[in-house]
Amino acid sequence: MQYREPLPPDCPPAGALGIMTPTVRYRLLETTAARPEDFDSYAERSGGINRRLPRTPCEQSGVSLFVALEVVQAMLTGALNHNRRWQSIGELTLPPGAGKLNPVEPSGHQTWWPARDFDPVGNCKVIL
Amino acid sequence: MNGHFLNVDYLESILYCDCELLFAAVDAAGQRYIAVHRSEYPAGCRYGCEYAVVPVSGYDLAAFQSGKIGLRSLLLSHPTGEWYATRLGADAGPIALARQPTPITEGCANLLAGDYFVSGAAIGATDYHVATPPPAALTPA
Repeated sequence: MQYREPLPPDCPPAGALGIMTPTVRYRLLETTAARPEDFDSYAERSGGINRRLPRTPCEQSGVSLFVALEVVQAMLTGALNHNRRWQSIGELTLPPGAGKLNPVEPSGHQTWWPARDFDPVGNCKVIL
Repeated sequence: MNGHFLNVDYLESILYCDCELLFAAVDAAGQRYIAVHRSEYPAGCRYGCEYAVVPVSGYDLAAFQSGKIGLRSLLLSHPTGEWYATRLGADAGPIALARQPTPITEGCANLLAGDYFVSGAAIGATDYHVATPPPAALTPA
């Protein structure tokens, strides 16, 4: 599979999951309309890998999604959005072949490595 | 430690979204800390993300992680409002904290204007992650 961004070696990791049927996930957006840059990784946005962050370079090259709307609603409306970084929530429908996903973490977070030929904006509905 | 600076080690991620938003840390004496992301993103993270760090009891930290108390209560749980600042930059090694001269109510007023609870959905994801296989829609590549 070809990916949207250049990835480090051995990324996605061996435990990443292929998407076999349409899968809904939630993404916090920085405007009220999804833009391509809303699906850029931390590494892409911040200009490179941060070696001090505990996440691996591979994870920093992925995109953060959440499995539950409730979790992103709490982030959007609460203290963690003190600088108004997020303006809305995108409901993203991932069809088969849209990339690979890491297993869900205890927080409900999941790292996604988008496939190069997948259009995230066209598959994202702004719901809040 | 001289009272103004101390080192802590990263303990665990509590909430991650493109970067660490909340994480727990511990010092050499076993004191727990909660670290809250406070940078403008992504520009403010270009040279390392900034965090407000507050010493908390293990009991309060666990209560927060289980959704029993909110972030605001956790940040205000220190009796004197003690808090530290740090930046997770490119350096390796322990995380260096700098004691801040003002109480947290002054230094982090924007963080305290709202609240945040670890949601039931997130807590439930622990069981999903640990105890159940991936959904049928997702299979190992």
